[in-house]
Amino acid sequence: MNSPNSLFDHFPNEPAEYERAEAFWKAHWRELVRGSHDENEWEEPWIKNVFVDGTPCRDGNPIFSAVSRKRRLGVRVIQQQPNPSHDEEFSFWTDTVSIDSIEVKELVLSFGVTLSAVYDCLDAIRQWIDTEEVHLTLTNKYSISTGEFLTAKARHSFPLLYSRSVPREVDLAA
Amino acid sequence: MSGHDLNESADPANRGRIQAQGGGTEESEKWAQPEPPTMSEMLHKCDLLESKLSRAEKNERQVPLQQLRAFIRRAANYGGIGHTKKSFKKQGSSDIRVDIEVSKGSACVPDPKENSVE
Repeated sequence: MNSPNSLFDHFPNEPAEYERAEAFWKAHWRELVRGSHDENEWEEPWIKNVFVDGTPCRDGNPIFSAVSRKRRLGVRVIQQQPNPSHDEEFSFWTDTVSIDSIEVKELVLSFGVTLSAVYDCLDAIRQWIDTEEVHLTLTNKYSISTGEFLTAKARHSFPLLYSRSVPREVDLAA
Repeated sequence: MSGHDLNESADPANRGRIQAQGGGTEESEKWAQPEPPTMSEMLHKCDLLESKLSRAEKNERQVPLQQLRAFIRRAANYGGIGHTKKSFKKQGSSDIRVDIEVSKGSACVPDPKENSVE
């Protein structure tokens, strides 16, 4: 059973939980890009995490990925294997990746299974797709309803954890 | 090792790299060849990459390199891996890691079986 402050902590060993984790990220991603002018330009996942024979890799590396070839921008989310000896929550870096000979800037997020790390992760993604930069000082822009989430978790469905509380600061079309 | 050369083909069917990244380190081993690199070739590339690192760089990537090698072996059990990028990060660090990127074709395919002599 998952602990109250954790998210899918049995994902490496339980295929059904792994699929719920993938669905969670997909749903949140769609909410993040919904209504944006480039909503339809994103492909997800751009990494199909399967082996050559079609067997799913199911290692959380990545658990989610998306790319906009037009903007040459990508996102890759890595959910780490639970490790009780480390309390690491969240880290990120930027890199480049070649997709069909196109160099794409990617934001890579690596996080544990705690809810707080997930919130940071979602906020960083929003910053990245809005401004192509991430500043941790700008986190916590979302209002979070943990109680609603925990109730939903028991039903194995995932209403969104947050809502936009600030307008987009950057006009990407400018 | 087959010793495929990066210049072997102008547009090779299989291309990628493994990299040691983060903490000021940037070393890589690349491939660009007509046949997908086998598990043994990829493990050899891990050795080559490791040999490019200082003792400190190697030490801090000990676990990520183990994870990369384990992934290569696992992939070979399932026929290899196609287009992908994976990062194996040192826990507790911000970005010290090793990456594998298959940008074209596939990699980590099973080693050919030894020809039996009859």
